[in-house]
Amino acid sequence: MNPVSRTLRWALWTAMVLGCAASGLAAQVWPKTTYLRPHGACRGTTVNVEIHGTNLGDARELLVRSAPGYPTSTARDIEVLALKSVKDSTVLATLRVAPDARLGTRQLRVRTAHGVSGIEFFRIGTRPHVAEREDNDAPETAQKIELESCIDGSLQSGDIDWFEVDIDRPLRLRIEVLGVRLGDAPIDPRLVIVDADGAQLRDVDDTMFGRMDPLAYVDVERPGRVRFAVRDTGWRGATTGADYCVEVGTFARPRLSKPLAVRPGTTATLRLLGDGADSDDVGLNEIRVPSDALERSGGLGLMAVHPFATSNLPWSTRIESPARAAPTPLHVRVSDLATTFERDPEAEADVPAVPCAFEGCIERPREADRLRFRGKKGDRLRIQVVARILRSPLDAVISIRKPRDRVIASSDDTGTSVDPVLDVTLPSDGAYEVTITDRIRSGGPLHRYRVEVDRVKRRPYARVLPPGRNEDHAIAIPRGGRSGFRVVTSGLEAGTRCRLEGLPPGCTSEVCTVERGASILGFVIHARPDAGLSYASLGLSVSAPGEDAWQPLRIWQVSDLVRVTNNQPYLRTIETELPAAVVEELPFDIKVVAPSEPLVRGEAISLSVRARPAKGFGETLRLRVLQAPPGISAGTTSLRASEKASEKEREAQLELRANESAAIGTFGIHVMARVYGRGGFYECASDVVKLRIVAKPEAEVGTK
Amino acid sequence: MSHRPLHAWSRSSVAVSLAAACLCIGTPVLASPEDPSSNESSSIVALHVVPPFVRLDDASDAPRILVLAEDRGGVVRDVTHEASYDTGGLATFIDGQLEGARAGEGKLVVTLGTRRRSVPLEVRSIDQPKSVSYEREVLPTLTRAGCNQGACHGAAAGKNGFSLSLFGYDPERDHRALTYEWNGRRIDLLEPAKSLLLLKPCRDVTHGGGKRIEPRTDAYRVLHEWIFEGAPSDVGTLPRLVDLVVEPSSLVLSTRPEMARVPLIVRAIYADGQDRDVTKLALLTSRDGAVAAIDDLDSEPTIVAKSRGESIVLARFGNVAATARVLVHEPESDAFVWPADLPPPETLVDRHVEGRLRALRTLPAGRCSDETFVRRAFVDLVGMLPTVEETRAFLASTEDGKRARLVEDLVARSEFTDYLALEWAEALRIEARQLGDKGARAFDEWLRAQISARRPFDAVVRELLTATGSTFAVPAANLFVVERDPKLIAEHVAQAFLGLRLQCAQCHDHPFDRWTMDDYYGFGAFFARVNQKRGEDYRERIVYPRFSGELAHARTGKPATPEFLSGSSPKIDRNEDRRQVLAEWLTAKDNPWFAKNLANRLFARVFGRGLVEPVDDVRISNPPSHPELLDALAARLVELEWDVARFVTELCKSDAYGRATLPEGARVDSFAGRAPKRLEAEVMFEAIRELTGVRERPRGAAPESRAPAFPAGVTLPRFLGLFGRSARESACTCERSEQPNLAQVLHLLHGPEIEASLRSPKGRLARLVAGSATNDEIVDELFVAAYSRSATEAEQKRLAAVIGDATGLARHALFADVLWAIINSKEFLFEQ
Repeated sequence: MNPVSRTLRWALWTAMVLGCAASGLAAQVWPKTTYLRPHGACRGTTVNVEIHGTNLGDARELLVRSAPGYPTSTARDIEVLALKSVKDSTVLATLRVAPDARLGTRQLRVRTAHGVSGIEFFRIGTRPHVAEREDNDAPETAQKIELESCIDGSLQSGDIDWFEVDIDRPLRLRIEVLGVRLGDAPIDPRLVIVDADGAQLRDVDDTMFGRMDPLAYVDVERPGRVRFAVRDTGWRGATTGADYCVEVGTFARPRLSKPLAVRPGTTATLRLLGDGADSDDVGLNEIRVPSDALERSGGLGLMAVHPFATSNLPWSTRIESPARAAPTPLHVRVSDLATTFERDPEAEADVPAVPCAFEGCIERPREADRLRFRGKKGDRLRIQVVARILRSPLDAVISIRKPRDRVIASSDDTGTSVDPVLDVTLPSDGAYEVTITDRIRSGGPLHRYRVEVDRVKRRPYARVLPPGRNEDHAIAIPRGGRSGFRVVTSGLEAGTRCRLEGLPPGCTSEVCTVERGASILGFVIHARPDAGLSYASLGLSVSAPGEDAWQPLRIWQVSDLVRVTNNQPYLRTIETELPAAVVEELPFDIKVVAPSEPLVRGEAISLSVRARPAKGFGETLRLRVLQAPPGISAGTTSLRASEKASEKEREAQLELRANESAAIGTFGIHVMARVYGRGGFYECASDVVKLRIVAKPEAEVGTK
Repeated sequence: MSHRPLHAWSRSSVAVSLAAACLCIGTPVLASPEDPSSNESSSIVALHVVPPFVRLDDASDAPRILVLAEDRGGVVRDVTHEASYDTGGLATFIDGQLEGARAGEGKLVVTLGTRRRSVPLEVRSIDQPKSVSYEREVLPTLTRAGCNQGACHGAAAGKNGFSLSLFGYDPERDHRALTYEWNGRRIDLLEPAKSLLLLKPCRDVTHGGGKRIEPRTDAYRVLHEWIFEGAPSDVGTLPRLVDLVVEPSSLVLSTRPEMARVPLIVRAIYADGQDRDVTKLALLTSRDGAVAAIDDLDSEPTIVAKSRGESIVLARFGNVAATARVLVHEPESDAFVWPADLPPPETLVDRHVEGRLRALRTLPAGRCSDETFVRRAFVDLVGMLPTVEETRAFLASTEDGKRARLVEDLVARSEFTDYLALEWAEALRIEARQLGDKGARAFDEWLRAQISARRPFDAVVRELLTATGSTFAVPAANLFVVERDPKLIAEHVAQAFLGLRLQCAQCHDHPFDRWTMDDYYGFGAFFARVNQKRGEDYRERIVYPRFSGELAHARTGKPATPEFLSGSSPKIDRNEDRRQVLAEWLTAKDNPWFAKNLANRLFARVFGRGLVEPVDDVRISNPPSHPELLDALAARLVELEWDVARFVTELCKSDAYGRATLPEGARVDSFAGRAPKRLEAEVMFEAIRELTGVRERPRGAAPESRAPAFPAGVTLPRFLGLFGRSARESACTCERSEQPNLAQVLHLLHGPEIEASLRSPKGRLARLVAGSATNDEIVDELFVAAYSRSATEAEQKRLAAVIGDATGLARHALFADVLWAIINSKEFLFEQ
């Protein structure tokens, strides 16, 4: 063998070995999903779904849950018949959708042996799906489709997709495009509809109802052919294709309901508005509202209603006319408050007392509505408008005053929400008047609003903090190791104990206590070495200081599915149970040496962290403290966890610094170690070490 | 607030208008007498007296009188010193000036030979003590002496600790500086002659500004007497200065020594109707001193002809300016005769252009060839070269009126919309940096939709100015995201829709135009209540009006009251959107600037330059080359109800549009012919793409879209910026550059994109070479595609020698060299 080929062979073998090692280690990286296809299915069908992403090898389970505002999905709604990792970047799943599966969006996650992926939306509808055929970039080569269809399409850069449908009778043709609402990418679709002669009937970009997703209707009066095209408004698309769905049919498409709110445990009759023109009223829809609808709302207080897909049965699964069922829901508010509908504010009789709610409509430009209620001096009230969140075009501005008196307070937007919230303390007993108007002085039949006036209530909750900017989160607990995550709490007093509920088998977690002046808690879950790979949905419960009983605490986790410029979130979803999985053991562990001396206020100490890598492991660990006690700031550092490294090289120092008012006491500290790999990362937590924080010695204080 | 007469575009008070009309209409210019051997008779046919009425308000009022004799040829000469005068004892006439003798009303009778003219004469008072006015005499004296110009004490920081307002725009501040600062050391009330205010400009003590005033002149006398009288201020006590007139406002001189000089009179009009001669106090300058210069500024300001050409005389007094036009002929042109065989002008444009050519004694160029016309029309109207087929069809056609038909066809094309939208996208500053990709694209599409629908332009502008709502749902609202400061919004609106540059007046009264700080802040106040907030989408803005909030005047600190630029203040209800009120005024048919601005921009688009140039720099000191034509075009646009397409069609149907190219160095603002102009960046880019047949689609652009239609937010090819595409950082038309530079030359010579296009297997050359066309046919196609003409025999012969018998790749390479040479030729890169 000549030297060149010998060298070459050696190089190839080395690369293979390293590649295997790397791939083996990279397999620990938490899975990520980027998109799936198709994005939904019709009831009563079986569909093969491709889920794409990274680190999806060794898929174990497809987790299917309902989106917020929907009832809990049952296993029989969507049955996973098969699940297989084809390669690291793709998982194939075969799903059978029950003929009576509830309509709407499901949230899917892929659980592998090493973690749980982020959320992908999957829609259940009533129209059969058809895949786009890619040679349809001109009207002449438009793809023929049936009238009641859901098209799964994809746009490349500069792409335009043409479709045509033959209409055999006069009807109202509806086309609704779902782009950004698929939860994948910031696609900005545009819909153009032309008649048989090519004359443009509609050119729609953004809509109030669909935001960046267009929807339109055409009243077809004579049988004939209608063509329509979908493209990205900016002609951008994506290299692998920016996905969209187009629902084509004769479905009703109301955009708002009257009333806007329903009460739990009641039967509500909704008048559905805005089917075509804003003033169109498409009829009544009666729904039964479950008594736990508020709990199922994901903390938003909203319930999804698929018009004409629900009838007198709770969350009906029986749809009388699948063609009429709207493909996407409108939302209603779930509220216990008694509602007063629009009336003459001067009418003295029956001015409601707090708490109360009002519903009305700014019907004409420049109109302002006045709503009166009675309150008492010192009442701390929250006056909240619910309008835009239900897709009312109203951009509400509210103010409060005593009738014919000066304005006490006013509000326009609240944070990033267009719906204002006003917190006010009433200065005296009596009647108060809330004025509501539109910011740009517009009005119309859909400018409906709801105003809720209630006392400010302390409603504790916890929200999961993602592990890093722009990162989704699912808890992956390595066997024989630990996982850590943080939550931010609100409304809990110091001394409240918090614990995780619903842990997977073989896992334990310590109780955390809310410290004075601190709202962030760090939880660590430990899995025994023999714990099975499994999945659980975690909850949180709390016990007030001095009490034994534990109460469930609202907890939620926000996932940003679509971001726009500057990574600003555009589409978010919420979960109220935390996904957690026991995963394979990690190829390393870390040990933190408890400091022998206490940490004095105003000073710093170092925590010694040692890595214990498995054979063949040689990655860099990025170290940080999971959650430092109040007044303590912690640095970050890294170390190389290689078995070939010396003892000294496998140890790093993490600095902890206490400010002059740091909390005094003994606290448990966990250190997190993160490894970045191909397309992502994985991490684990150390065992707890105790850190004692003390005040400065008195002699020293006196000297100073 | 008193109504101030409109002043822009050389319009003046009624009486003066009549006088100017008498002197200007029919006999377009005033001219000095010609050589008797000329073709025109030199006998006097009329006698003119300037001003047309005389009033002396007080003892200090000493108006100049100018008497002009008009001969048969419309030429006038100064006969002031030859005439005799009878005032009926009301006044005495000395050296061209009247001084009151007794109060009363009568006539000033002027006699020259057998001719006699009389004008009303009124002497209101002669008893009023002669006292020097600070505002009307002292400040103008300092301005005339150059003390308060930007290079001297009028600079922001002043000079040597002494700061005056630029050209005296802040009289109160200047009075404090003159009389109060530094313990009042600048004036000596006991011994006025020892005041620094006199010693310095007379250079009796060291003065960095040099000698500015001579002792024993009127300037010295004014300052001395003012100090002697105690240096009082009369600011705010006198009627407001509202207008300024220079007379004669338009005249023709000859460089013959005996005809080269005509005195000028400058008159100030005040709000109470006073009309005073301020010739010796006004600052007079000539824009082109090599053509006509100002002489005897201190005694009898006179315009003196120097060489052939045209100049503008700018007079400045107080915060008002006025101009006069001066045309100078040389004796060689005295024999000029307008050819009798030239057909009479039929269109509005041709009538006015011919009138001016006659006055300039310039012959028009002949009709351009069809080859030139077809290329020109395509470039001007749709921003692209005609295809080979389109060119050949046009050249082969023998249809009568084919040029007019071509224009109509081009104006009906979508590319006309795209090209027009490009210009307005620049004026509106539609770009993604400020508006975001989505907002810019929505704005751009909205603009194109308006033009494509041929929506009346006034309605479009009203919608823009009053846009309210989301920048996504109401794209016109993006106008208020481009700029958010009300002052900058006002500047942008004025420049884009009125052609006015108000910027200077933010800090001081405009030095070369009529705009004061009051005008600036009054206009800006219309936008003081525009507000915006973030929309539901992070990238979205919601624009809406508030009903409180003001714009503070930079000088007074007080809230500025909304005031139109014409001087009137509208009544605005408390809950009314001020923008609505402004939009009605701005787009009104009688708005002095709106219609003219649009007409001028469209004219510039078609003819390569505007009647006012630059098109967005309308000011007194930059008057239109053809003021009557501009007025007429504006009126025509209104008559057409703002139909831009029809208006442009009419322009292109004129003979002036179809004239041949002028030689290099020829005067271009006469429109005697067409000046060569380099293709704009987008047009050149498309021309190269069309010529080579290689079209890469930029990211974000629609398939098959062309450079003029590339919307904001598209990743633009580097070529466009290199060749001067506007960056849209301001509304100024100067952002688009046609200046050549080395980078452009190198790009055309060696740029990788051009090289790749020439050798592309998908391009035109590859197709031609692979086909059955002969070398001559290929050359001809390339010439027709590039130049809209066939190759001449000599060109064919020369290129045949180059190509020879080459085949295959070698032949392609040689033709690529030919195409490269064509791309780098002036005939390709320029529009003729």
